[in-house]
Amino acid sequence: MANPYTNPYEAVAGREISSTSEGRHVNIEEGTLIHPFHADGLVDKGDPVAFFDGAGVALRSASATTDSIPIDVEGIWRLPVTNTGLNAFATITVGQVLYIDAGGVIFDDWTTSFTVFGYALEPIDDPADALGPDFNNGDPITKVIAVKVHWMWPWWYYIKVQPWP
Amino acid sequence: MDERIKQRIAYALKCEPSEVPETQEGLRAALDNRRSELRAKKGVKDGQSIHESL
Repeated sequence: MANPYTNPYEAVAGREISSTSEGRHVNIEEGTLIHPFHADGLVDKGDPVAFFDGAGVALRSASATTDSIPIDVEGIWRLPVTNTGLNAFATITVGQVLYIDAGGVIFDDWTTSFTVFGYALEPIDDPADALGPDFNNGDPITKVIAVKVHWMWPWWYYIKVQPWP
Repeated sequence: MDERIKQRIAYALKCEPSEVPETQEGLRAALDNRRSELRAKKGVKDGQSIHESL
């Protein structure tokens, strides 16, 4: 399947593609999605995904890289989030920005991320200070927490034309 | 892998786009290694950006 939005017979300026007041679900080819690793290499329903600057949650599993996958780019989802402790505050605080990396992991620090994913709605302790059930010997802590998904531009990629050394 | 995707991953890994691993396992390992390096360098406390110390 090609880009689900490409239709030469409907290429009329001003014609709405989504239903009115909708548009939070977009259709993206599986082959262009960043998502968590699976044995079959294909996205699963409920996976956090990224597609260049975009991010969201897959609404169905794929059976081929050419499948068109509906993605919810808003909403509040329970998702696994990793606090590496690398972010400026070390903890994850309610309302704090979250990122997704090239392996489909939602986490706290932009420097090794792929794009912005959304915002945390539950906290995660600093791995270095965590005690009790979160105690993890300083290693990153992964917990399933509520996440507000939001498609937002990763500003750091647009600061330099050639960012690598 | 699309070249523009590779450039973004190279930024995260602080490497050349040609050095970005092609396999999922290699990519996961490279990301984990990069974060381990950053954690080892981190000597900052609340409210201070890690990036000032790198």
